[in-house]
Parts: sequence; C-alpha cells; structure tokens
Amino acid sequence: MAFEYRTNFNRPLLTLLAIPAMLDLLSGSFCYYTFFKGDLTMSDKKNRVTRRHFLQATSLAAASVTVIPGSAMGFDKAAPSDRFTGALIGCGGRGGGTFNGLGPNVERVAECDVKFASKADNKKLYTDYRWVLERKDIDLIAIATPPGWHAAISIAAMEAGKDVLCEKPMTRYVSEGFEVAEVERRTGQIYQIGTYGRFGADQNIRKLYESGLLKKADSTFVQSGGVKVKQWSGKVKYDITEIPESLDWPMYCGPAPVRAYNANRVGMGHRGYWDYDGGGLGDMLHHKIDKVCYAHARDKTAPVKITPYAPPAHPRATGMWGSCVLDYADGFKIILDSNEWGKSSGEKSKNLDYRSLQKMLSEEEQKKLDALPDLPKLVPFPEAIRTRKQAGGHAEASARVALVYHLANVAFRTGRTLNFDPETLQVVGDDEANRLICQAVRAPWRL
Amino acid sequence: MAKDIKKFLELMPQAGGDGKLTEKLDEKKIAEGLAGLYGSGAKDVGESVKALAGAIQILGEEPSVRPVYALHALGNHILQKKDAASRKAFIEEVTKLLDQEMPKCKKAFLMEELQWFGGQESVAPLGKFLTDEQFTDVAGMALVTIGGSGAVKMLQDQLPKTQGRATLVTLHSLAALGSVAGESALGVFEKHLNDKDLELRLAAASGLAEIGTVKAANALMKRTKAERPWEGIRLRKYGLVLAEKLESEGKKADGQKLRKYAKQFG
Repeated sequence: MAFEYRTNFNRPLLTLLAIPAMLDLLSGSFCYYTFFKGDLTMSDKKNRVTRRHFLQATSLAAASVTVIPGSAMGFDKAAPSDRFTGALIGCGGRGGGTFNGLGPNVERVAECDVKFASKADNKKLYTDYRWVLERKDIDLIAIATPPGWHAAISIAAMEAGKDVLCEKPMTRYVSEGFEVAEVERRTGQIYQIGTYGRFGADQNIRKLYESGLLKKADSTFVQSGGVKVKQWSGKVKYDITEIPESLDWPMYCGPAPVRAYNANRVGMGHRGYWDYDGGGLGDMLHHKIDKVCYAHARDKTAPVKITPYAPPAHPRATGMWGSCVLDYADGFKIILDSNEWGKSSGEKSKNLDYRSLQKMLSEEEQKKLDALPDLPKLVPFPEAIRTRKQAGGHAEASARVALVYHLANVAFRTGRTLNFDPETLQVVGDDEANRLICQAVRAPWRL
Repeated sequence: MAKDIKKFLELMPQAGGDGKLTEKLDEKKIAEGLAGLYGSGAKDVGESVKALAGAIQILGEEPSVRPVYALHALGNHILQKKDAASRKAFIEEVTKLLDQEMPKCKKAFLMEELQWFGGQESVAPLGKFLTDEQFTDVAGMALVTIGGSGAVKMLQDQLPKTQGRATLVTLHSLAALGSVAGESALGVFEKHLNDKDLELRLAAASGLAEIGTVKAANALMKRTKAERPWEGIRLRKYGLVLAEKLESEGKKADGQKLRKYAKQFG
C-alpha cells in the first residue's frame, strides 16, 4: 500500500508502528490521522482512500509521535470505559469518513438519514435525529448532513449529553455558530469541527499573538482559487420532479423552506443553494483557512470590513464571484480570489511565517516572548472525549473561522461592502445585511 | 413588457446548458441593465418591478430565470443607493401583486423579496398569509426576519384565526420574537404549554425562554412532565437558558429554582 505521510516526529518508531496500522487499515477496522506539513491529507492511491483518516492519539502519541496505529496501543483490547457508542446522522458520501473521525473503539449503533424513509425502524435506522438523541446508550454523534442542519443537530446532540463531531462548514449563517458555542459552554460537552488544519499549525505564531506583544499584524493570507465556485454553483433552470419515495423531503429541507423538489437540491448539489449551504466557498473554505486562522489567532476575533467583487447574486442559487477582501482591525487581511470570474486581486500572501513576524518585535519583546511558556498542544477529538478537555477545533474557534466565509457570502449576496462589529457580531448600519447574519428558520426547527 | 425594460432584461445573464448562471456574466452589461431598470428612481423602479414580476411564472423554467435574477438584483441595487423612495416603490409594487392569482412558487418568491427588502410596511400584507397553509411558512419566516413590535402584534392577532400547521408556524414565529413581545405574549405561551401537540408545547416553552423574565420562568416551571425524552431535553434547555438570563440580572434564587427544575429532566 502506498501510504504517504510526513511528520516531524520519530520516523523509525513510526515505521515500526505503522506496519500493524496498515494491516488494520486494509481491514477497515480503524483510521489514521496523518500530518503533512500541517495539512491533514493522505494519499493511498492503491486503496483509493481519498480523505483524511483519524488516528487515535494516546498521551504517548501526543508527547512524541503523531501517527500511531490503534492496535499497537491495544485499542482493540481497550477497557470498557475506553469504548464508545456512536450514531451517524447524515449517511451520504461523507458519512463514513466523518464517523471514522470519532476515533477507534466506537461502535456504530444507529444511523439516521432522510433517505431511509422506506426502511427506517427507529431502532438502528432513523429518519429523525431527535429520536436518535433520545437514546441514553449513545455517547457520540457524527454529523454529515447538509450544512443547513449542522447547527440544530449539534446543539440538540450536546443538550442530549452527547459529544459531537460535525462536518464543515460548521453552519449555514453567522449567528448559528455562536449558538453552538453557547451550548458547548453550557453543557460542557465536546465539540469538534470536521476539519483539522489547525493541528498542524505553527504554535510559535499562535504564542506570539497570545502574548499580546504583536501590536500590528501586517500579514495577508490569500486563498487563490481552489474553492470550486462554478462546480458548486446552483442550478437556476431545473426540472421539478416527483419526490422519491425513499426521501423524507420536508425533513431534508429542515429549517429551510420546503421548495418544489428538484433532484439538484439533494446529494452534492445542496451546495448550490443558499437554503442549505454557501456554494463552493461555504463548502471548502473552512479546510483552507483553519490553519492560518488558528496560527494567527483569527479565531478570537472577526473581520471589520468585508469588500466583495462579484456580479449580483441570485436570490436562491449560489453563483460566481471574483474576490473578497476581509480586513481585520489589527491590520491582518484575508483575500479570497476565486480565479473563476473577473479579475483576481493580484495580491500575494505575506508575513505569515514566524520569522517574518519576529522581525516586528524589538529585542526586549523577543526576550519577553521567549520567557513565556509554550502553548499546550491542541487536543484531538478522541483524546478530548476521554480527558474532557476542550477539543482543538471547538465551537467558539470554529464559529469565528466560519465567520470568514459567511461574511464573504453576505457581502456577495448584498453586493456591498460591509462594516462588521466583532463584539456584537452585527453588520454596522445595514439592517438588511443583518437579516442574513441571523436568519429565521422554518417551524418546528429551532436552535 | 415595455421595450426598454425588455432591452435591459436581456442584458441580464441567462442559464447555461448546465442550468447555472456561470457563463457570460458580463459585469458591464449587468451594470447597464440594472442602471436601466433603476432609471431615474422611484417611478421607473415601480414600472420595472411590475414588468419583471409580470414576466415571472414558474421558478426554474427558462422564461423566469432572467426576471427572477433581475428583480432581486434591482432590490439590492436600490439598497446600495440608499434610495428610500425607490425602495418604497419596489415594495409597493411587489405588495400589490400579492393579491393576484399566480403560481404558488411565484407568490412565495415575491413574499421572500419582501422578507429581504421590506420593512414594517410589509407586515400587514405578509401577515394575512399566516392563516393560509400554503403560505404560512413563508409569511412566518418573513415576519420574524422583519421583526419589530408590528410583526409581534400581527402574529398575536392572527394566531386565534389559525388552525393546523398555521397555528404552529404562527406560535413558533411569535416565540422567535419572544424577547420583542415580552410579557404581552405570556398568556398565549402559557395556554399552549400544555397543548396535546408536542410541537406547540415546545414552541410555547421556547417563547417563554425568549421572554426571559421571572414570570416567564414561573410559567415554564408549571410544565413538569415530558411526554417523551426529546421533550425533556428541550425543557431542560429552556430551563437552563432562563436560569442564565435571570442569574445574569442578579436573580440568583430564581436561577437556582430553574436549575432544579431543569435537573428533573435528566
């Protein structure tokens, strides 16, 4: 099996321990995390495993090695207290991968999907997540529904005493993310977003921001292409067809209006409709910016000015855009270039590495920084559910990362520059834009 | 359709072979088309809206693609210009159309245009659809979006006239605006807290949590039974939300009562 990875850690140990891991992977019995220069990617062309796998981290692993097969650590012989039960809500293309993200030693005891209408038994298979959450025998919930459901199910799951791993995008609009964060705080449950870029970020950069010594961040992050704008644009011309018998269409629509059924709204095409998602930007950007947002502490603040460049947006379908500049109060900038319409910004990323930022410190400031303790490592989900420490991709941090793509989309949908208040989480002086920040939901669904 | 308006409409993008608006999105043409539809302001806007809305039939069919796009783009164009008179003209023309017979999808779309561009003047035209099961969802969501005391009063006035799903939607919408309604909505939520319908009970409970006062908390605590675990999960939530609100106001004893209430549900 061609299994490519790189880490900064003990390679001989990795190689030794990886052998049983590879055998387990072939048997499909567990999953890996691989860190590749801070991105979580894995290529295994022979086995056609195309998405990230999640590795069970032990305290040993956390200390020295980032790739350790679970069986080598005895996870398949784990004590009963180390075994969990889980449910998958949203059993489409991403479902299996998301469930695997819960970690090894998680027994899948329930599955829920609106496409199970003709076979649901409310014992193992469900169409309604609420009845899954009623079960006291379920510890963990993996959510891989379309994004319109992410917030409601995450919140309900945590309120039902479950820990949550939820696919990106975290939410469909701005205020949802902060409602999820509030529930995470209130309940003390563990929440992790289903993307892991931050786990490979340079902690030195984060430490610099946390120290308060960096007065102005003259840094720019440019996302140039790679967000599948055209691919995930929605159809505005379509055939209205019969609803398949196997699909609970009102449940699929959930908090969004129940539109006339057309097949483009289901499956991967959901990305093309504001009712469920935010186009390619909503679908992809959390992957692309999680690392930089963590390293540069963007997940503790919000942009203050959002400037779009796009044609007028369609009211229902996501569409093309050119670029968006998101300015932060401390001088940091995120620039999104679609490279699929209009002219790109022409800007390049700058001052994102630690060395560039260090140059902005005086000698005395550098000494102060050096004297500070290192930051604790981010806690992966399987460790978080066992130790009850906050997961690295927790809800508050994820909500502020999600702000970036949600605000860009609000700017595209309104066609105007927005001034945003990071404290009140409101667009300043634009009530109509705020109607997209916090949106009404269809009865009976509420957060 | 007036010849000029037709000309401006044809500058708008059309769906490609894949059904999407991803090709031939010419910035200059779209800008020219919008400028033409906007004209010199309110009077021209009114005529454009009438023409564009008249051209819309079934959403998703080719003839409706351009006018749907153009109408919404015109709405945003007016907001960008901060032109109150043109906005008024836009809303008035859309509102006039709502009384006409038309395909359901078209009426729902026009109601949503009021959700995005309308204000308090749209509350009454939208509110009368709360009792119509075909349009109650659209009306409810639009009123919650527009918000304000006008929307609250409309929901309160219409609620007794509703039945079936319309009752749920109206109560749910009023609950969403519970913090605006305040204790004026206490009675209606108390009434539905023990309804035989689970969703009405939960809508009422959420409304009490939104009101967030001691009286609302005392009303919630009268519901002591969860017919099923899901109801218990929600009642616990609303109890804790109320506890936090009251504790943040220094009402610690009330907060403790609510926490004790919430605990009984697991």
